[in-house]
Amino acid sequence: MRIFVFSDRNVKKIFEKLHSCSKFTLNYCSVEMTSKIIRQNNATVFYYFDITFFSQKEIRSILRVSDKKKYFVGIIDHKQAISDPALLFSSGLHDYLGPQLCRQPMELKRFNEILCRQNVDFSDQEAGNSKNQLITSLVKKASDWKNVQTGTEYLFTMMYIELDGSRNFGNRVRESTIDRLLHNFQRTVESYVSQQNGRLWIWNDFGGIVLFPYNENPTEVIVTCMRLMLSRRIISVDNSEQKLLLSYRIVLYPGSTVYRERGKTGRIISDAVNSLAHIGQKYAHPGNMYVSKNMYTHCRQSIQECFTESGNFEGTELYSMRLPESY
Amino acid sequence: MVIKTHLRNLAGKALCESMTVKLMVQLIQEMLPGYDLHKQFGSRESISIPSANAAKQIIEDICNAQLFPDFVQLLICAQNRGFRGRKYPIAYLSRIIQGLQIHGYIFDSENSMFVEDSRIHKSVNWGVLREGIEYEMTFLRFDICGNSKLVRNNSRKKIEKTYHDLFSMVNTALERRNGRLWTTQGDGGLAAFCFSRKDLQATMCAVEILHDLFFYNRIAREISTPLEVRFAIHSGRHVFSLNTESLKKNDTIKEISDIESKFTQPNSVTVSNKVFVCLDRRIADLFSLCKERHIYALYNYKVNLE
Repeated sequence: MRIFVFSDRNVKKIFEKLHSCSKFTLNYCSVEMTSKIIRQNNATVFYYFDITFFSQKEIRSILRVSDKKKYFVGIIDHKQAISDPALLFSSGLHDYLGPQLCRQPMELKRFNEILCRQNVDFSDQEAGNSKNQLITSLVKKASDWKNVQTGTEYLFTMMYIELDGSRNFGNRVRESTIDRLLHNFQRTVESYVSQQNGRLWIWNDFGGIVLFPYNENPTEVIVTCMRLMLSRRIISVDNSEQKLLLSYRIVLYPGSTVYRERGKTGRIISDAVNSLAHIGQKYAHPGNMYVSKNMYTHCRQSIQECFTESGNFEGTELYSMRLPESY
Repeated sequence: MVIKTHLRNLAGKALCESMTVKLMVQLIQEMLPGYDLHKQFGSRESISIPSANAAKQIIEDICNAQLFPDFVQLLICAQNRGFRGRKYPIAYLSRIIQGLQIHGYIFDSENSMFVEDSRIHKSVNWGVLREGIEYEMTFLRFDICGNSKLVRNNSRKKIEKTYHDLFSMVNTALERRNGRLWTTQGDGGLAAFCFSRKDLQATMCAVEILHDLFFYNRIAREISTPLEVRFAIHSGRHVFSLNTESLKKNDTIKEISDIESKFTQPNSVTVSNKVFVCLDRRIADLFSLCKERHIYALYNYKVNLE
């Protein structure tokens, strides 16, 4: 989740614990940028305003549209300039950092609880999964590509896929062969995911991210990815004349991101995309497939049986696919 | 198949510019033994036929005999490997091959022959197998296990839907791998593969159907118990005939029936040694040697999650 802090002085200390958590992206902005950022941002974000630089009238007008634009608002009040914070809470304020709280870094647990109060079960232990639920409840679901507009934040089912051992390819085969292989691999992934209306979104040579329209029941998407896993030898034969046996890892994870067309994704900032890439690059074992707990619990039991609990990575509980004996 | 006039004219021009009338006749006699150009042309033997007229007549007779793709194949062979000890460069050959592609034939360079482009038409003989001629083929046999029990325990509607689903999985995989479904009984069938990498294509086809079945049983089946199918793959020589009765007499078919019914577990694929040795290593490694003894060593693959 993105957190914007509007202040013309250094308030980074207050948010340093949130900053160190990969689930949150902190943006410190100058006060004069306030209206521009709020106007342009359609995503679900948390805004903190340093009251030293804003009048109470300005804060009230921001709060008035917060419901409509689905953002959260917090106040940083070093000098207790606001005499009656409760009045602002009744107008829709979500957090108030008084002089006492401004002296020390905000606890992660406290922030999670604030989010949790928005009718979402958000325990610290299951931060990753619960945050997904929070996002699910607030962000538009991309249930159909027809309604997806560029520049708007949607909830997607995201898939991370990457060829294993890609750095060593150069030692084994010629560059032109690698190019052909990668091109074929990309086409194969595209043909598999398109069956479930999935689209390649970000692609960097050896792998990338695929977006599927969000569905409460992710069984079909999980099956598509399992098919990719089971077919790896067939895919290898069809794609590589060099007798290479391809191996790849897949992570499935529901998350929200501002949608931009493929090729224009360079400036995307999304904690879901970050988390997905982190799981894919730092956690996933070669030749394995993982789904988040959220997806696992919502898919059919007959498919759940094909997965086993794998562990927790940066607050996201993961389940890995049970691979066939001959694989 | 009707060959369009411009392709006939191009082929005639190619013959005319690339060889003598004598050679043209020798070529067509390879396909139509005893062919008499003068008789076909309606002139006496003592009168020589101009090269352009001879070429036109030969192409017309080839087209009437439905042998145009085979004749082009012969021209390719004459250019690349030679005919009666000598290579003949054939004019316009690449344009003729392109023309045949428009007619729905693609050149299979591995077997040096034209085969039907299955995206355009699909016939049981791939448009090229000839009645009574023996070919080396690979067969895939599949059979639903416990068919009678399934029929007894489920409604007719569910059974029909299930079998329809299975056959659609089979057809999709066959289409991808250029196989042809030759016979179907109520609870199974026999598919044939004839061209490039036929053993590998047949095996990958069976593995793909098996994977489809794995997911079908988990998320789409309507019957009370999982749908179980046995797959067997074997290769051997077969004299092609449109009459499917001849299949029953073929030794390879008898052997594959045996492998499927006696040596294959439900929801698994068994391949004979003849097929196994021709497989790409990456696919062969999926299979493990069966303990049961048959005249051929057998190898089996099943999706067993760890």
